[in-house]
Amino acid sequence: MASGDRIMLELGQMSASARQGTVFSISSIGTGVVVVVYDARNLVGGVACVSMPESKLSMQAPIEDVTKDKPAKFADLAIPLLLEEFRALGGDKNISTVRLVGGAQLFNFGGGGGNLLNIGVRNAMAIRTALTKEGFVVEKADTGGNKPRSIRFELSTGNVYVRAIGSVEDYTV
Amino acid sequence: MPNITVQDVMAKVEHLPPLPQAALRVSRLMQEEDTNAERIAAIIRLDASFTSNVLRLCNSAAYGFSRRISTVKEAVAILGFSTLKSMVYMILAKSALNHEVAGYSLKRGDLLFNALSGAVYAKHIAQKERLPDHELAFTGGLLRDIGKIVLGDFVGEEYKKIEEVSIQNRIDYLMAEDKVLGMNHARAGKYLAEKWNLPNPLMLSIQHHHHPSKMNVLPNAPEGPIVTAVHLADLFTSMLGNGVGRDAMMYAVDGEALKKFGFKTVDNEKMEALMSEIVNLDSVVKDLFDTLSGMEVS
Repeated sequence: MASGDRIMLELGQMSASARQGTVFSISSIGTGVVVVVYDARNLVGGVACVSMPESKLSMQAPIEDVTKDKPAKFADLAIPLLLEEFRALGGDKNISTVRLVGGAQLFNFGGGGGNLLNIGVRNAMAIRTALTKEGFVVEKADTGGNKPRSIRFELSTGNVYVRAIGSVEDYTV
Repeated sequence: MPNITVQDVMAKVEHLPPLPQAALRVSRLMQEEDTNAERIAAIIRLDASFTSNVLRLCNSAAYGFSRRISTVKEAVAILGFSTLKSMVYMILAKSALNHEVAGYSLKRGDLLFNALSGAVYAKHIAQKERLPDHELAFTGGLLRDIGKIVLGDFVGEEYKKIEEVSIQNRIDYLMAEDKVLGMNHARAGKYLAEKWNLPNPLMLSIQHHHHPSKMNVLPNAPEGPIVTAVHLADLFTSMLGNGVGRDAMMYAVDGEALKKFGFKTVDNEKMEALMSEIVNLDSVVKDLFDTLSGMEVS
């Protein structure tokens, strides 16, 4: 069995791989949303960890500075970049699947917080919008709730394992 | 159901492993009226390990000084009193918080990372809101959850009940702790803060960071906005999953506090822009964590 790469990603990062045995792992995603795109036939996979829905609301800093070490920070910028890398490695849009994991929320008891309260939902929505523009559809989503999640995506099997904080077991998405 | 009393908490506080003596001495000295940077420096210099740890922090990327600081005297002159205090507290935090706390599902390192995240974010928010004491926000964020190391051992299997009570009654985790245990980690933290002789403004952050609007202070009290900055920093830390435990997102924004203490980042667009800035601070948090992780602290 090939040893493969273990690719650990954090919010704002992305990676694609066609190397056999690659495992992507992301720990402790709260309101952020992880996007997993997978071509089971050609065994190509890509992951992006999005933390904010839209780049246009950010500061006046030029896009290059903002996304230098966090290319996947904003949903609208992350998706085209991720898919470009995925395609470059041989990922075929027509037979690929996309799954979303994350987008948890703080409690909302009506006490305020503006649109921080649904930032997880808006991350997921912004990702879906960006995917639609590229001709991709989300097949499965495990989003919402109040618990941060840790995620493991295995390229060889296509399995996405999720564990909520405090749980002792993974579940698959 | 357990009913954890103040006596139970005090007994636990007494039994916690002792903090590094040098750092504790310095932190007490920092509270005194007539203290000054020279006196602090003199005490630091007496302990080689403490000196080395302070200098490590000074020279870390997080502080970004262009030249290397090699003596305590230089550190004091360049950093100033407030920043030095923050460094002393970080060294204390490393000693006290670098443990697993099973009751909150926190692995070793999580609570320290969480503390540093709150510290860095609170300072950023304080700077943005132009509050007078950014380092107070830093240390408030840093020490806000020390109560978890006290209460963690009492939680046991009750964590399931606490979560259920929180969700069913639509109350946050802190209030659910009170209902189930008869005690919460903010109050437990206050007792530990008293044992460490922490100054009152820090005690307020520890006790009230989940509900700053409930503090018994006037709207123009300087502590109000500081504790509110710590409150927001705590929520951002949860949202970004930084060293979080099982209670992570089971809290709400205290909108009352934002209004009461005149926060300017209250409207929707500004909150999101603030979060976007906060996201970019993770390299600072990581650098501080790596620097502290490399330290020997008795």
